[in-house]
Amino acid sequence: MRILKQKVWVHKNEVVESLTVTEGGKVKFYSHTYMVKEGGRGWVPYVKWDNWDRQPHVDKYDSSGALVEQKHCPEKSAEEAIKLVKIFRKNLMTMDISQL
Amino acid sequence: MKIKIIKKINQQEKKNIIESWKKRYGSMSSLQHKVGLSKCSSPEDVNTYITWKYLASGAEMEETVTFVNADIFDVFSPKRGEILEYLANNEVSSIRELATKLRRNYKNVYDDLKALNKFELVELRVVGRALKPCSSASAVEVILEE
Repeated sequence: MRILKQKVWVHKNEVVESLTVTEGGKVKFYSHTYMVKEGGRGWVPYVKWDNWDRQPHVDKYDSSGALVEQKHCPEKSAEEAIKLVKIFRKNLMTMDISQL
Repeated sequence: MKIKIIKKINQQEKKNIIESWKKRYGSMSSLQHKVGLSKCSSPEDVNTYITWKYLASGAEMEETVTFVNADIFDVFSPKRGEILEYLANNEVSSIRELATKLRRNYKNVYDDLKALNKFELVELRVVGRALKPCSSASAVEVILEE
């Protein structure tokens, strides 16, 4: 088994934190969280793709970091999530991410 | 251009990581309970629980930090590169010791470490009354691609 933790700085105060657990080349768990550093409040999650409970889905959080939306979404690799974040960044909050 | 910092976690570091989680959460089962209650509302707790669970069952772990924008170039300088290289190959007990080894002014080394720490290129661990600088990287890759 292998755990890969990745932090990708997409901008000065924006990162994607990714955790992928693989066994024999198969992904057992993934979580890719787009986080923004809000002045004085530390890192706040905006969007997270993961397969917690073996259900691939995407979560959206409000500006206080509270979960506001959860939708089914096809599995995403870290590279796919990072690509979406690099393109759309904070605009992801107003989009139907599950369709991307 | 991307810059990727790679860190392979050894057995001792795994133990240290798990010890720090025990101090913070009590036990893996109490964290599991917390995560079960909050479901997906805390990405950090979920990720910690998953990492703990698989580390405890013997998984290998690697961490990478990648920079895909130009901000990192504000942080890199020859002197800071020297600090990264020194810490990757040597252990020091304090910032003062590092400054002495590098024959540099304490304040300048302190400022450089703070800047590198902001992007998690070095760790500053509290040991007694001193801050112990440690390398966060076992390798640095510069990748030329889109």
